[in-house]
Amino acid sequence: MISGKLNVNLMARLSELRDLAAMVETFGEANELPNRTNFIINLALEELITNTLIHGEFEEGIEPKIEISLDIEGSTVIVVVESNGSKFDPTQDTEPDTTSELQDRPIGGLGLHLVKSQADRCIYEWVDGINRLILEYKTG
Amino acid sequence: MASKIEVQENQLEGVLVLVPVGRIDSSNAPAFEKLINNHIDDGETNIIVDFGRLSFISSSGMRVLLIAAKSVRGSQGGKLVLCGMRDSIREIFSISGFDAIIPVVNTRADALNVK
Repeated sequence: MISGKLNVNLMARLSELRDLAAMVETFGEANELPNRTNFIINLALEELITNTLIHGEFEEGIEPKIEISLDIEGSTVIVVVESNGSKFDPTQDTEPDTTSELQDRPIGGLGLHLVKSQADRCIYEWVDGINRLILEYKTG
Repeated sequence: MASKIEVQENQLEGVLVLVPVGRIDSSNAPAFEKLINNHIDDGETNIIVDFGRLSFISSSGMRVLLIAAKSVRGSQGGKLVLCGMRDSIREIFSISGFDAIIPVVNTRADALNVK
């Protein structure tokens, strides 16, 4: 049974996202996480990884890698996402327009906003050429 | 690699009801976009999307709905209405401000009544 901690290494492919979602679901069930927590962690991983695969520039000759870990400390789930793509701090990303009328509303820019809005804490670090994003979610 | 999406289609009092099943994420949002666009191209101006069988949607799927809402309202004066959302999905429509520009209601019957 998975419990307490989950580590996943992804090759940089969108097709792996479904497998990751299933693993996160299993982790959530094994640890009796609330449905909402499961949903927002899955959403955050989908948005962050999609963003990395679409916009993250990987240096030529370096194998693109994304590493994900989930851990539970007390009533907090800690999600760490690391990638070796170009430096990108999502916590500094521009806030999207969420108020314009329908026809004026820009398409896109929403994913990272959802990630930041739903996490109780969001910390970015750039360490030895690795992007590390630490997200914390309180379950209690 | 792009994935397929299962979408059930019904007619309710002459309005097209789409019921996507499972997940809409970055892998199958293009397939969902193509399906909605085909209906709009075929002249559908009023569309209800029933979220009752949808467990997950990401910003890729929300983007498809925003484009479709603009399309039916802009050129044809129609409307896109969403119903049957679970709480976690409704929350992200609220955070994004989408619920202020695309009607979100509880049931299909409510959706038919949106003016």
